Amino acid sequence: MFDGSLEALQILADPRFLLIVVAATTIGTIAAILPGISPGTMMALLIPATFGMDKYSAFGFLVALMAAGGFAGSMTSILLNVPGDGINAATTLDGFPMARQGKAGVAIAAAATASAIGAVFGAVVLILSIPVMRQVILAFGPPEFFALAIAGVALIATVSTRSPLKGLTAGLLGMALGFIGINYTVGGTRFTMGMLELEDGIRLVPALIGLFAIPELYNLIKRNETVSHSGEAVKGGVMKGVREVLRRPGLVLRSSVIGTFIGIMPGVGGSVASWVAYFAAQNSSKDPDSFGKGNIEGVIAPEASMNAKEGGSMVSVLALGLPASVSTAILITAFQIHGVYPGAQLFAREMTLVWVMILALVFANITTSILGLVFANQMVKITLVPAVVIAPIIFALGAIGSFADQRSLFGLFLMLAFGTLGIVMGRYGFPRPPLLVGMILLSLAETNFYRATQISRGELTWLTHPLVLIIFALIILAILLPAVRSMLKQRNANAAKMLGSDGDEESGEDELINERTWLPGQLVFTGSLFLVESMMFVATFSFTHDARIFPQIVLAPLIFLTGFLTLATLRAVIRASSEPGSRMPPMGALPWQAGFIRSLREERPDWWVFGWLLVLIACVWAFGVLVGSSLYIALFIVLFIPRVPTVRTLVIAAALSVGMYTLCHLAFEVALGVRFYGGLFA
Amino acid sequence: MIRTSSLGRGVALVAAAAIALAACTGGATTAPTTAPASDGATAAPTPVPSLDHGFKNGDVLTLITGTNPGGGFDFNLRTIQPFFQDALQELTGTDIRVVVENLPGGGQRVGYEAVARATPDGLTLGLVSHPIMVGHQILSGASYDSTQLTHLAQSEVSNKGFLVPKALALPSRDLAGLIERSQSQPLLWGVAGARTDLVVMTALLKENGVNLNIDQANFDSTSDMVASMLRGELEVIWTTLSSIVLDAQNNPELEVIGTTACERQASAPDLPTIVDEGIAGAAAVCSMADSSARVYIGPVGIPADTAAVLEEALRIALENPEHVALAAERGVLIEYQPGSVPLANVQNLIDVYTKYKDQIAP
Repeated sequence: MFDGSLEALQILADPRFLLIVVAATTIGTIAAILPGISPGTMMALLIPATFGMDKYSAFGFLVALMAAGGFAGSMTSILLNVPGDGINAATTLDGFPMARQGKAGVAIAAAATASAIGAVFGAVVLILSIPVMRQVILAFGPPEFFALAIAGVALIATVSTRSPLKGLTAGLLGMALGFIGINYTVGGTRFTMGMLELEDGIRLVPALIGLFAIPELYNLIKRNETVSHSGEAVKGGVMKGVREVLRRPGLVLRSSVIGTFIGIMPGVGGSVASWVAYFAAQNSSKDPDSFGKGNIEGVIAPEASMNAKEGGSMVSVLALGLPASVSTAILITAFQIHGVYPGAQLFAREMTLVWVMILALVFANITTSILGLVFANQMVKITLVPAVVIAPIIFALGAIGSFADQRSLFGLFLMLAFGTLGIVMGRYGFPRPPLLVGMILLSLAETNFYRATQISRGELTWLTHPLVLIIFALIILAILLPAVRSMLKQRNANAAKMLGSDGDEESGEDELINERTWLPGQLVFTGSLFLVESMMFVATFSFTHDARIFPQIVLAPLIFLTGFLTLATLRAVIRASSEPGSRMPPMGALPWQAGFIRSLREERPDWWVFGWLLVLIACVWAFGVLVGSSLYIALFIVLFIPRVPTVRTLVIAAALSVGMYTLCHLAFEVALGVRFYGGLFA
Repeated sequence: MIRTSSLGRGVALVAAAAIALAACTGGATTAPTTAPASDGATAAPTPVPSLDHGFKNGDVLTLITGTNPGGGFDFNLRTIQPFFQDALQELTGTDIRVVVENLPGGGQRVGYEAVARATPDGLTLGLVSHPIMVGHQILSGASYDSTQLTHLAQSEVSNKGFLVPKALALPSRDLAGLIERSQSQPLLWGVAGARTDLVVMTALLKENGVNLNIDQANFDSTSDMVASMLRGELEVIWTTLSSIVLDAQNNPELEVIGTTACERQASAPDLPTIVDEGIAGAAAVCSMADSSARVYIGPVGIPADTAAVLEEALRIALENPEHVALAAERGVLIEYQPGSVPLANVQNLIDVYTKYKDQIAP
């Protein structure tokens, strides 16, 4: 097992090798930060660069590129509530609230430390599992993958909100959106409305930016706040973050085990790993109610799990030549180019290479974590920059990334549609992560459901596989646990009340109706959802038998839930309307009313803020993706808050605009060869 | 409002480093070693001043693939790009640049439509799977007519083979053995993708006198199928030969037992073909198999002189020994054919897709 390890260490000590790995780590980190470019894309594009390298350098380079993305996505999750990928979504739940509290440095340092430990753990398991790799991987098949996908959605729906019903609605809504496109297993094109751009399903980049970045920035620019509520970052947060992780070895170990275990299964993906780890952390925490409000354990668990998964995902590549992700699929292509054959031959002839890859994986992960720790204090300053400056940059980057991802303006419209959905969901207390994870995991669930049935020659006997039953039992437990816990708390509160104490006023309440929201708005939202879902249900009858079953299974409970929510909201609206001084929509002053300009300088109304998203689309449509987006930044900074701009503001606006154009031109057009839409005048 | 911080400088430096590295690597790939003249395998390119090729200095020729970076088509284009650029520059005497663009979507249809709708100036070409291109025309209402598109070159035929577990009990270890075994119990048969030649050919194997009896399981990728077979689930995997040869190499408990090609393959000379075995209906199957090619196409109406230069440049690039060797490392056997060969096969593909339209995924 340790054959070749000394040679690998010697290779790792070679400065040229280290330089290659550091360069790859840097490129991978940047790729993960820029929307529309993933480390997988960079690997594919840079494979030709490895033609001239020896195989150790080539795989050190590719593995480091692959490993660098995870933590970079976590930084944007914490600082801006923008997950770099689906796997980073769990980190937003507590990472961003910490940033709002001025603890971004603590969160980043904790994430970096947990990532590094998780990665080392995953690599150690990878090494130890070499003798039994094949048997472990082959223990899991379509039945187990199906059960795990369902577990992922069920767990996230229950952990990410105080209202499990709204969480479940969001999760099911995400699954419903996941049906859009062609499904190769059941053989049908569904819900595309004839749009070619939707045939491959909803692209992740516009969905991520729309669901997470736009709503957060929308709320910030309404009041021109900074991310950090307090307006300052907590000093000395970095060491505190490291200590917080080291104080919780059990949590880090458990999360790493979960990540490694799930990572081993080809195709399951990191989204499940990070949510299962988050769920386990919440349920073992002494303070589960603080999860979602900035509990550091909610950052540590998904980070450790996510990075431990990398080691696990390498197991199936090395042992069987089977990819567990896009990145590992590209790694297999590189194996072929360099004449390396995974499986038994690899372990018989290429143990040095196996060790080089494992060490490069660890080294790259530790490097990104160290970079994270070193730059944490600098990065938290982003949380202190006024939203009016940050927002247009992120919006413009989102527009460029959404176009680059699909090479079509359709991506921009999709981003805007998801942005609107995200804003409305946030306003009425619907959690967004379950929607994202539901959308990602739907395909895994449906495909494996049919595959398991086809492999069982049409029988459903696979549902009684021992591992499937265990996972289903855990799902039921996951759904029941919060209910049991809240019942117990209610009982304790009642007992406390009887003893004269006030108890916990939030206990046991499912926040179906948030008393602070504008109820007619929520009624319109849930009513519209109900209508759209019902139309989707009717549309399923035009699908083939196989293509219709799963959508109907998902849509039926979803329609029931949104119908229930609509009725509950209607009841609340009727009740509120009978009370004097019922709440009105926060419209603000209109352009023809007195105090309009003054109101724009204070808290800007929704129509004004949303209008600026439409201005982005107009700029891109008229002047092209790159010029239009860059111009938008300048326009936004100068005009969003109506006042006479100072020379300094004009200089900053121009500099950011030109900087954005230059960076994106070099990164997308020159380096990646993306051809952008040039606008009406091109 | 904003101060230039060390963070900003750091980010700028890192970005510059990354871009510089990317540019350097791009540069490395755009300067391949020219094939040695003494090799004799490739005709030396000579400028063609007699042809009004229409290219000028500074032109950018885009090679489009309908797949994401990292797949087989993407790899093909990125491998040939520097060789094609060199050949074009030498033939036209211009500094024309060749770039690769990924236009994924709609099962490659977005990319195919983009090529078909491009201006026919020779500056937009695509690498397509011939059967998938025809499949979109027949099944998805694609806007193009495959018979009218400019066919420039065929780079390879995607021959198909049968991968089975060595432990699978068969009367004989060939296609005839599979057919015989399938009569007693349907074979659990894995196929990847939809609207592909594999799906169409599976329909052909069920009829046409072959009468294979199967329970079909649909997969997204070959690797999923291999994992399923290693778990003891699938009995036969039916996919691209080059891919399963590698899978059998990586997993000693699996073996390839036959191919539906019309002739024995240079990459696997010991492998019996469907024709060798004298199976009834073999002609229809192997004819379809020979039509399953990767083809370089352009939009309708590329001027004849421009098309002639492009055809010649593609021939030189495809046959360049260095390019052939790079492809071979991935198990891909480059077998250049002029554009007229795949063009002659289009009608056969259209006929087969039309006949089995109802059996192919909607």
